[in-house]
Amino acid sequence: MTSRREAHLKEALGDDLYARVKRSRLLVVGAGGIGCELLKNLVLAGFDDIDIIDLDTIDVSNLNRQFLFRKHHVGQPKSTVAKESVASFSPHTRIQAHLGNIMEPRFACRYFSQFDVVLNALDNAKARSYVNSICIATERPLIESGTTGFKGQVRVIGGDVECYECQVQTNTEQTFAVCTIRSTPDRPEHCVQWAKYLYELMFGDPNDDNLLADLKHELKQEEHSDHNGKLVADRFAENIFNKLFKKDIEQNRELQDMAKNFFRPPPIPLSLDGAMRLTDGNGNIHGANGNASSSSSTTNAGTPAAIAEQKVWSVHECAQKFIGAITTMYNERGDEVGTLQFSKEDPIAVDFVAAASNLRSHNFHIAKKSRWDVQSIAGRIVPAIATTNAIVAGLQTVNLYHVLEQVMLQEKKEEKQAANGTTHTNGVAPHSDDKRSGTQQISLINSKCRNAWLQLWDSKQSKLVIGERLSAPRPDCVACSSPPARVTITDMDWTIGDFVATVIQGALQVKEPVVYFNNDPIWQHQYDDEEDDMDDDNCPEMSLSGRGLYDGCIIDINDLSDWTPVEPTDDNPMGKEYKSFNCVVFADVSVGSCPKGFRIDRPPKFKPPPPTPAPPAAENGSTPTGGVKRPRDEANGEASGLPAAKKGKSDSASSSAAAAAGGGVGEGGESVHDAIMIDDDGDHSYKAAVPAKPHQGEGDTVADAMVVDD
Amino acid sequence: MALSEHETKIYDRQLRLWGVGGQQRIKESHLLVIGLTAVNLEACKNLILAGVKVTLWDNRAAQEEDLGYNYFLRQDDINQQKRLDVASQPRLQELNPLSTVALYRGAGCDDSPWCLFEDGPAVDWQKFLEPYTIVCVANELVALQALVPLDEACRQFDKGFFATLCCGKLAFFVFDLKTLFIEKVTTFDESEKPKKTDKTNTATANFPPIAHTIKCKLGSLKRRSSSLFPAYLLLARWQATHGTHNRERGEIGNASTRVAECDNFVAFAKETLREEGGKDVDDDLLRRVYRAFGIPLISVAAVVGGLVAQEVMKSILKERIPFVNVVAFDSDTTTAYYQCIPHSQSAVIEHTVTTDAAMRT
Ligand SMILES: [Zn+2]
Repeated sequence: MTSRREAHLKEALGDDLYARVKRSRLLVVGAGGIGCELLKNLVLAGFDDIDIIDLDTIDVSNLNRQFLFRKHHVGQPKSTVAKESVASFSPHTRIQAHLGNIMEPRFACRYFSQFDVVLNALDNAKARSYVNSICIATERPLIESGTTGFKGQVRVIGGDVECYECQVQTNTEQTFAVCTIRSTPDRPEHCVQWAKYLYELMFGDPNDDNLLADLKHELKQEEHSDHNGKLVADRFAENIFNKLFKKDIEQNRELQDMAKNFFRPPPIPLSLDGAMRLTDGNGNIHGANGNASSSSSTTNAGTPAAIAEQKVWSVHECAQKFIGAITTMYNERGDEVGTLQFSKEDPIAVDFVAAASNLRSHNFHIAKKSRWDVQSIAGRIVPAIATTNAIVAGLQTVNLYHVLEQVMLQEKKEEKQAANGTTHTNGVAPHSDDKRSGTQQISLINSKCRNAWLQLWDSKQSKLVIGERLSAPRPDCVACSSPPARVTITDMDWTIGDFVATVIQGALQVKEPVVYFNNDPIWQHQYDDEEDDMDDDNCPEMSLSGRGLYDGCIIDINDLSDWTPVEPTDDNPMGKEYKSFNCVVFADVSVGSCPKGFRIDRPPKFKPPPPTPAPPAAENGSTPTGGVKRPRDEANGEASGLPAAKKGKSDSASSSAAAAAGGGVGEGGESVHDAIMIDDDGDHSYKAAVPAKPHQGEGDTVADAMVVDD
Repeated sequence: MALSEHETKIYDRQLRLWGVGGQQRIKESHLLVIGLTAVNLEACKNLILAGVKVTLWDNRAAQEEDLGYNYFLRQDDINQQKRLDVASQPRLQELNPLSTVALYRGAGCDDSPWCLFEDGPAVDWQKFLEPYTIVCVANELVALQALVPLDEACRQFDKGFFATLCCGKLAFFVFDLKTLFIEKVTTFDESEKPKKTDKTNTATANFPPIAHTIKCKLGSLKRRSSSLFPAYLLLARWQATHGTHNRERGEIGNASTRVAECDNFVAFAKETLREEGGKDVDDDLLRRVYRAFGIPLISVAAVVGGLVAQEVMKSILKERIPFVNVVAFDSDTTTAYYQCIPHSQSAVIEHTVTTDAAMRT
């Protein structure tokens, strides 16, 4: 029965698609800016069964776009509030909200297999890459999305089209030369990065990537304790100040003199006393960023009121804030010291980094930045607005219908084959829990699905949303060229020894296997002649579950008997590249009547040899481009295709222009490249900014990839 | 008028795009929405979140099918047969307590917006438009031709004009900002990394009046452009002569006679294209537009409502160049096209000013 509520929907979609929508199960990963819009769209688009996952809680800065949340929800989990909010206007939709990280084992392959389509509303590359890999393993179509500011992008992934990794660039994260952080900063960004390292050093648990790690020991020596052995925070802060901004700078100055570095003015040491006497504080007002930076001379109606955080502190104020942040931290949050990580939402952390970076800027004659700007730089905040998120979530929903139409075609085909008694290719039986009955990969390449870009205005362009046909995957893609093999065993209580002997060596015919789970070897092939003189780390009697394996986990299998020679390196002195493949292990009692029943659902496919390493990212934030994708012209009758020659010409122009542009790093840590495109009006070549892959953004940090925080 | 601390917290992420000055402009803008259709509601949601003041006007009674796209309604509103604007207002307001979502209480003819566009006593447009900076009308409910006087008044009194239309998997809008001067073209490419440039760009966008758009000879449309544009104009012309038969539901004809009428529309379209030298438009597309006229589809409304809001924001912020003046979205190709109708060389004029002062530091 269709309610009048969905009468329009049914009319617009047609009966078949409407019926398929009604029995679809969807997974939405992320309940942030795009997630809220997407969830609302899906519910109104007729979908009745949706899971949504987010690990984050609601922050006040979310409220300008994450419209399912209200002020009184601040601090509550996004996923559950989103669910409740949607239930208020669509009580009949079944939504399951999960508070958690998508990368937890409970959401692995077994979990993904229940869904018809997965939709990403994420803000970081690590989680995107993970979801991509699980969707490949479980053959789920994936609709990916991303926004930064006014730009946005949607990509459709699955089956016979490019996956997320097919377009992955070389590391696009902002990188600085070590020396610019440690000794010769010349941009505010260098000082901010230095201050973040310092913050970790003083209040957190710095890892090996911390370029100042050697300082920790020296800072320790500045600690000052009272006769009870209790740290005296203000004295400690004073000592630290004089060490970092005076003594170290004096040393730096000597080194520069010795190096006869005449090209830069010598740094100015600054003592705490000196700083307290200094007042350069004319309270310069800086705008939020580029566009508003001229706001002091703006032509805007009236004088734009600055907010307090946009004032640039004087050296005097910086010193006060620096001392204040350290004493507050030790006196009031002493129990957290040693465990803290920089958070852009932690006011004391931002105070500290703003003060420390500006003091260092003062040392090195670099323009100081407002607390607001430092927060942006340090927190890698991606500006985010409701409109872009809404458009992108809409484009995902449009494509979701296209994907389902394709699923329907596939199902019809498989039904017909079943009716004709045709067996499936490979003779592989369907997985019992699969939402889709068949095992043939879904074909999206000739479907209506489009990768879509939301464009800025461009004089030569006649589209503001560009839908681009999907392309075939890159043959050497590390993620999708060798989808994991799939094995189903009766249960995870099999011993490792049985599993290796029966399944890996037996059915999968790996002669000399080394098996990894979560990068740990759980089985290493032992050669007979080694038994005496080598420790045997294998535990053949241990159960798979005892070793941490779970239903739907992915293992990595190498075969020592099968290798190709490669250039020997320090890491690989033998110069042997072993054949390897991934394998999903499912548990399902129905696969065998005997206790050790199993089934090979998908045979192994070896991983391609590793690509030759790309040249390292250039310094100072610019990155090599390479593999730039651009929206292509759609030859769809309305805009007839261009002559091949012309297209070819523009294509080559594209690659050279992109190479020359040396695309900068977007704030989200991703490149936004300039590329030449072909207009559907004909013969122009023109520049348009084209994101090379979904922006990581949606309003928040991306560099700290573990955080799915928006 | 400074932003409060609370405002800077709520608007943090967008302030990083358009700054305090931009937020101030948003605060001073006021949108009147006539007709709470799917596209208009999506646009409203986006603009209210950004901080725009919005006034709603739609006297139709809420019905069951409105629940399919209007997530600000509840079953109770239907049971009580509330007006759509009255029923939607509280939850639209909840989206952003810092903004104002009001109901139209003006000197219109009685309480219905529709009589504004029908023959009747002359409207004092100056008085009518005075509180607003932008007006957005549901084209499903009022023919474009009937909106010409409102558009002319908007031009005269310097208000933005938008008319939106959802046709199932397709949607359109036309807008008129008369002349929009962009003081400083900002690309926001890499929001945090100021580009070193010695140029300041300004631009002027010149919009044709809606009357010229409707009258534009089909033969003068760009031949390589999307067929959605002639289809849209044909629909507008048909709507002008045949009216909107069922204003309550925004249908172009009677459900019972729609199939027959669809044939008439196709015949009318073919004839008009021939007369005006337009390139042929697929029967199929014409039928799609006609049959789906006024049917809301959330996926399409989300995209086009977002695009409408984006252009409204441009009219407020004056920092980016608008897509002059007709926009068409087709979900079959996931593509949105724009075109200036009638074609004009001066739709957007860019100026480059070279100054040292423009050097960003
Ligand atoms: Zn791939």
